[in-house]
Amino acid sequence: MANILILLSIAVLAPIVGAFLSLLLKKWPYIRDIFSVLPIALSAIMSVIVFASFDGIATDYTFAWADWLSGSLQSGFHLDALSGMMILIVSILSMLIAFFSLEYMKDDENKARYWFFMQLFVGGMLLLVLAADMILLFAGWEIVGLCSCFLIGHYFMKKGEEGSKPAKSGIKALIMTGIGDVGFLAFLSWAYYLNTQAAVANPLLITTSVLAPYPVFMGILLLLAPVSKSAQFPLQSWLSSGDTVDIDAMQGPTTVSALIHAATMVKAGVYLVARFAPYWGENVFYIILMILAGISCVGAAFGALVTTDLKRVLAYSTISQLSYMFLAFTIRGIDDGLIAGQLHLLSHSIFKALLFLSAGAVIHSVASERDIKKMGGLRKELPWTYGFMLVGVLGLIGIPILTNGGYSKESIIRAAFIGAQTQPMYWFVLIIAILTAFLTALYASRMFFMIFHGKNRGVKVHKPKYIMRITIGILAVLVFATGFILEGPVHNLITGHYGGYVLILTDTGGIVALVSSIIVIILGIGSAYLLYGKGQTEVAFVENIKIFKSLRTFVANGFYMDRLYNIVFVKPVFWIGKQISYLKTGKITWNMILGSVVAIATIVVLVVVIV
Amino acid sequence: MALDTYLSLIMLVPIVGAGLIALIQQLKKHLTKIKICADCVNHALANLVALGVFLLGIISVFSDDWRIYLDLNSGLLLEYGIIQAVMVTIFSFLVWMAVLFSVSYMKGKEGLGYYYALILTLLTGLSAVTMANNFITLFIGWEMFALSAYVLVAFDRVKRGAVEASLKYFIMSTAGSMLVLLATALTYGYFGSVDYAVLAAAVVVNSKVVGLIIALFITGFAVTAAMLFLNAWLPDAHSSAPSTISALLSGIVVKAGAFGMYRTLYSAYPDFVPAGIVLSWIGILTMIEGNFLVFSQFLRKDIVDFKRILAYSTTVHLGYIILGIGSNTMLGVQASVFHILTHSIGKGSLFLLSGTLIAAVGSRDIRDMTGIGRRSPFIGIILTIGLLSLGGIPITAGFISKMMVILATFNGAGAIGNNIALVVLAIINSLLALGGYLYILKIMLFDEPVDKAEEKVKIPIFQMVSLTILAVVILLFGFWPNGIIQAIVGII
Repeated sequence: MANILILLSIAVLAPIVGAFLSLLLKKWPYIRDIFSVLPIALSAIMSVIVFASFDGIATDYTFAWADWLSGSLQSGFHLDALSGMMILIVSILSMLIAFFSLEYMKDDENKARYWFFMQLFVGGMLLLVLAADMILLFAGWEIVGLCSCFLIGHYFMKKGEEGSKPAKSGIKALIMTGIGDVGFLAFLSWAYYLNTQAAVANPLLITTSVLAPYPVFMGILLLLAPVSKSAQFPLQSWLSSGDTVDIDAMQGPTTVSALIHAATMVKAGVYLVARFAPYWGENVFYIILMILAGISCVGAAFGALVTTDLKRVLAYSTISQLSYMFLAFTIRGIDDGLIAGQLHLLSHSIFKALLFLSAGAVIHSVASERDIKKMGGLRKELPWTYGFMLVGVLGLIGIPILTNGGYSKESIIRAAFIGAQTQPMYWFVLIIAILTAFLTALYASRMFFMIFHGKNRGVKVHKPKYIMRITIGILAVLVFATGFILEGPVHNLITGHYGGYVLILTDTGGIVALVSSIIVIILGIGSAYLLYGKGQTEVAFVENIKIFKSLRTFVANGFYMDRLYNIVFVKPVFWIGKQISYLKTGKITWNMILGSVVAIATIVVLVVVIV
Repeated sequence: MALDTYLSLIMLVPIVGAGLIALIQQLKKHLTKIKICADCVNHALANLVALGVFLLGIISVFSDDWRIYLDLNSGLLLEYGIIQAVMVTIFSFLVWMAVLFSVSYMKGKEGLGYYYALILTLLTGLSAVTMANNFITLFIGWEMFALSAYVLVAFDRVKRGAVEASLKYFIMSTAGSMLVLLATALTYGYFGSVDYAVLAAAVVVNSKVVGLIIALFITGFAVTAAMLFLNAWLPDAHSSAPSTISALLSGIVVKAGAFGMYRTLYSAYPDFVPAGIVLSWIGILTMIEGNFLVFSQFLRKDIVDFKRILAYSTTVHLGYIILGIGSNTMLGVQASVFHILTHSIGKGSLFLLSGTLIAAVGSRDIRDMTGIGRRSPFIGIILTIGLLSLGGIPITAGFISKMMVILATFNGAGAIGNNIALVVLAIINSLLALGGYLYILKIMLFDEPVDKAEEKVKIPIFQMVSLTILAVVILLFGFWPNGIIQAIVGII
């Protein structure tokens, strides 16, 4: 036991300590870059060892970190199938991405900052998924948010708008995910209160001491956290904000986007819901989650269909896929959607890392051009990237049997179908899931055709180096390989029942899932080929019909979310501030009068209340 | 007055040091004749004294034996338990940092000895306030630090704003002190004693009188603790004073007000829960006021004063501290003390940094400091650590203390609905505050410097050392909060 605790501590602390150590290597940039990958690799090794020795029994490893009431507020690490799987995903994918950035960030001027926050980010995320108590969980949660701010804003040193946009984007990310922190902190203190009232020995330990069910309001407070961190409607605009606004997480380096989307940050919200899932007794919570996730699922898919920024397509697709997981989590009953959601979490991490890194390779090859309207016909110049990205796209579309995305997506559709037999509200989930599967096939193929097919519309190409190619290749293999692992071992580990399978063709649900996904995939790819296969960049009927055009403008503006926030939140704060500041004249007479009035009022109130 | 030798050290070392430094300052002319650098001696002496008090404090925090030894005198005029030890340590640490910073910051200023002497009397007064076990001793300590603070605010007496601010502080703070004195007199008249222990044990016959006494005490302390609209002196005093003094004002002086409230509600009149609830609400309102005023500062056309923004942010954090005290639980007091600690080092480092910045750009306007963190990475790092600590982001100290305050508020003695409302408002305010800090961060770190972009910022060595120590301490508590928490948990 003690050994596992040491291994886990090394896994978490190595990147955090490494982050500070790498700052000391300022004078030897080349050594520093290599050195910065090592702690993450060490974490990955530790995670593999821990995972290999994990026997399927959830265990808490506690220690005193912020032990407020001597011995009653223990912190610690919690190891079960979910967190075991998460540390594997986080550390291995982060390692690959860090390795990739050795090449990708080669010419960057501020690599010291990049590597510092990169490592800290991984450490924070590992802390988040391993935390056994809510304080450490929250600490990891905030570290991840902080690092995302600086990583997204990494290019702030650039001149002019190229520098100011990343800066704004980073701050936007921190503030908007801060809304979720409000909810989480309120939830945390409420749980602490309830548990101390109930004389639970360790009030903030997630596993042993959570009283179920919580009051509904408490659940809604907690829901704020995943909604903001996983960028669900209506808080999605920090991750992906629409082409005209262009202040979002896509301003960071592509490696950072890959890290945020694949392994860390946005997965934190999904993880949180999965982690707390056993404790929600109320349907209200699930209905709210279902509606929000449903809106973001379809909305983001439309966003991906409209945007012309390569990275933003992927960002919208992330939002949409995360909603997919949330939708899966809302399905409860005999065949729990919880497992399907977790499987999708795993497969999405891998194919999205692949997609982002190959997008990075494309962007790197075409001199930082991100507009897919200007690309086209790149398959001749970049054959390797073409092949690898094809794998990623297939994973995203969810080709059955071959790719991991196929397995997990079908299991979600199957769970929704089976759930719908008993509870009619899951028809909603089923419809959204199938609709989104279609839209996903459509936008993914659109993006793919626009980049690689047709004719080059005016970008210069140079080929990526071998480091990039190796990393992407590994991920491409993983997309296929993990499909088969999902099928058996991982599924068994999460469920705890051995001999189960994801792909089930013996009941109606499984057949419906398989058949419906094959149909929508064919439809999606087919219509994408018709619309974009020959190198088109616009679709005629959208151009010509007014309602489609205005709809497209609406989506391209990020659903006007940023403007809404500005009117509802930002402006009132400044306005109220201005009004209050009129009370502050700086004249001593006025201050004394005001002060006396307030003082007398305070005295009166106090006396009245006390007596 | 039979003071125990060791206990008296904490009071005597700074006051004797102050006298000595003032004496050297007086003899400066003669000393220069025999080729002794009076300023150098004063720098060294002030640092030694502050460090000495800090060491006495920190040893007594972690060594029970030492503290019990110090507490031989309990029951007379002073007492010395864990809370006093922690508070004195916090005070003396920040004083030491400020004095260390002053070595290069105040270099060559006229009247340096008086400056150090006043800082040390300030420390003595604050120690007396914390260590007092009755209201009269508290009041004496109170006036001692307050007088030093008035003069220190106006230390740059050629500046008109400084004198005005000092006068404003003097008038408002004295009004507050008078309320405290009135309450003390009433207490003596009603109970025949001003000892906390006697008062706590006394049977209250007429709750109206006691209610009035508590109200007067709280309102009196609220002026120094910069509560709701009684804080008009605070932004002026903070922005006009030398930066080291701003750090001390914000880091420790205003905390004395909070400590006075703790004494009133916990030591002297422990049975009045409703007063705590009112106090909590005052804390929340103060937070709201401070936050909105921070935002209003950004809109100002004439000058967006960096120190003024920090000063308003201080009122927000005092709101937290008051919230913890108002919860009427020991958990709340512990949380408040922890927050006093983290806020004093976080805000202390930022105010000291503001001294460096103002010297570098020659203006207090934040717009002149655009992108200064890019010109000097050191400034950028210190600024980021300080702001994040105030914003309550982990790996900095502010995270745990803010969380503890919120946990304590939820477990407060009031009704649960009341507590929920307080907690929700407090957390929303923390988000607002974070917004303000990020705004500062955006301007001073992320934005592009308008001119002088290539020019490096020179930071004198002692300023650098002092800022580094503060930043390291912030990170240290962020990484391993349990070390200090175990000491604070001893406060019962």
